[in-house]
Amino acid sequence: MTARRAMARFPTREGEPRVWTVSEIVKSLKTTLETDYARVLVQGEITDFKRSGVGHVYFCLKDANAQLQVAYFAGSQRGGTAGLQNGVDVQAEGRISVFPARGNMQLIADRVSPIGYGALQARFEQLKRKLQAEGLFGEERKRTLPRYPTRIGLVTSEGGAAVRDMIRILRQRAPYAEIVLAATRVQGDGSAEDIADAIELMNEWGWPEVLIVGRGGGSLEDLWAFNEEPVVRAIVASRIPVVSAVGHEVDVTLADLAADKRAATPTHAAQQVVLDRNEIHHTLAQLSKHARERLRRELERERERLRGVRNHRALREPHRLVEDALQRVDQARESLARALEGVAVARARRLDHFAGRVWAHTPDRTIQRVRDRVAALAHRAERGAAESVARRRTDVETRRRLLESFDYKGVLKRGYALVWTEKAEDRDRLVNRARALRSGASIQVQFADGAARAQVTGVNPAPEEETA
Amino acid sequence: MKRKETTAAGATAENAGRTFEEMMVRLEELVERLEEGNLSLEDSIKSFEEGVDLVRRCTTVLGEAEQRIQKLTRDAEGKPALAPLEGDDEADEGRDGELPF
Repeated sequence: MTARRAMARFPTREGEPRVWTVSEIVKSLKTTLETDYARVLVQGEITDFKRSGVGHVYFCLKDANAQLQVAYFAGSQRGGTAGLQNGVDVQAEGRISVFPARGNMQLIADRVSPIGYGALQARFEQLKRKLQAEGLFGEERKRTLPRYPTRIGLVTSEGGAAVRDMIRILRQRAPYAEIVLAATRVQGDGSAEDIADAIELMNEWGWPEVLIVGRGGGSLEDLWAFNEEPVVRAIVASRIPVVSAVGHEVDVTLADLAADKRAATPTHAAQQVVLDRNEIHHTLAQLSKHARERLRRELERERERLRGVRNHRALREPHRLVEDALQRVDQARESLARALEGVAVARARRLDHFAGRVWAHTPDRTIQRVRDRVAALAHRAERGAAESVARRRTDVETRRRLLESFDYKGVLKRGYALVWTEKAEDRDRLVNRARALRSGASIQVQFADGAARAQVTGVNPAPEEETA
Repeated sequence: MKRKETTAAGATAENAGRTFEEMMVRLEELVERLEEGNLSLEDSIKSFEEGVDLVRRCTTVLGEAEQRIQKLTRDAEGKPALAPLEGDDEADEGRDGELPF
């Protein structure tokens, strides 16, 4: 069919069709094509893409109705091969040639470059590799977002749907938060620089706790600014954590890779940046509940300890503690005196090297001096003991007041009960020890809402606790 | 008793200067410390009181209902400057433009 059509293009003698050999016709075609199409620029979609071991690239260019084979040899790939793959629209530049052995025509290309989407895709991959190599997308660079920000910065277009969506969500969830918009163009020439400047402006101002940088959905070209180097670098340089929110769920931009957190859409970003007010209320309630319970347990434990202290001998009869201390001081004084007055001079020497040495020279004065020291020590010990008792009493008194300020009736409401003896002469009347009861004793059990009379039918005290 | 009151007041004053985020973090920290349970009674009560104060402050912040929306631009000298956001009807009322710089 090709031959028939080609024939029609070549003038022949009237009525007498010329008979070509195959070689002749192919050679003729080759000459014509290579002369007339020595330099062509062909646009189409790549299909049937192959790459040979040595780097030659073969594919077909197609459009709706036709295909053209293309050879793109390793030695003459001026446009590189980045982004070349099936489905990508390209422009291929080169010469048309015919391969006689097969009789087929092909484009010998020396430059193939993606156009439109493919071109963008290729640039995307190239820049991504470069910035990745610099470590700009590293996990370790990611800053933690504040969990409860009240100052939110938006970097997006003032007229876009994104800003309206974000403000709407922020209003619902966090009406207490303050919002500041740094308006920027988000598409078209120079928009990348605009976005970068807006991010920088926010940082110069420094007030927001978190930034949302983004725009609503659009074509790859529309979102392109967010794939450009200035935006990526501004996000990386931002001291304020950045949440990216570009386009739809499926669009992943370089800005997304650089951001501290990527949100699928502006609406999602707004939802992720602030917790719902009700959630925070809930958290607050939980926290106060835990704190209150914890403190209650603490007070309960302290109350137990106080009971122990109250029953302690020293508190019942504070002077006994002083007496004990005095007695110990007396004993010390006596044994010291014995040591000094007795024959055991050597022992005294061991006890007090210095005193021992002086003793050898002026025994009388030394004895007197040591006696004075002992007396002074004894006096200090007495005073110290008395003070410590007084301090301890104040301490206990302080704690008692503290504890009583938390009404014990509150504890009763939680299910605790108090046991009182019926006998009035029992000073405390409150029973806090099993040992204080005897079988058959009459008691009163006090609950929050009243009391019950009861009789003890048995007492099983635990083994005696050690009292401090 | 007196000493405790002054230090609790001190913590309260300190909290007044905190951001919401800082208050929440502080509150969580206090509760954690309470839950660890090795504070003295005195410190427990102090922590509790500070916690109560923080809960109150946080709740107040959450209750603030009018959202302020403003626009950040560069002035003639290229310095950051705040301006009202046009076309934001809901935010118009009650805006006083006194954001802390």
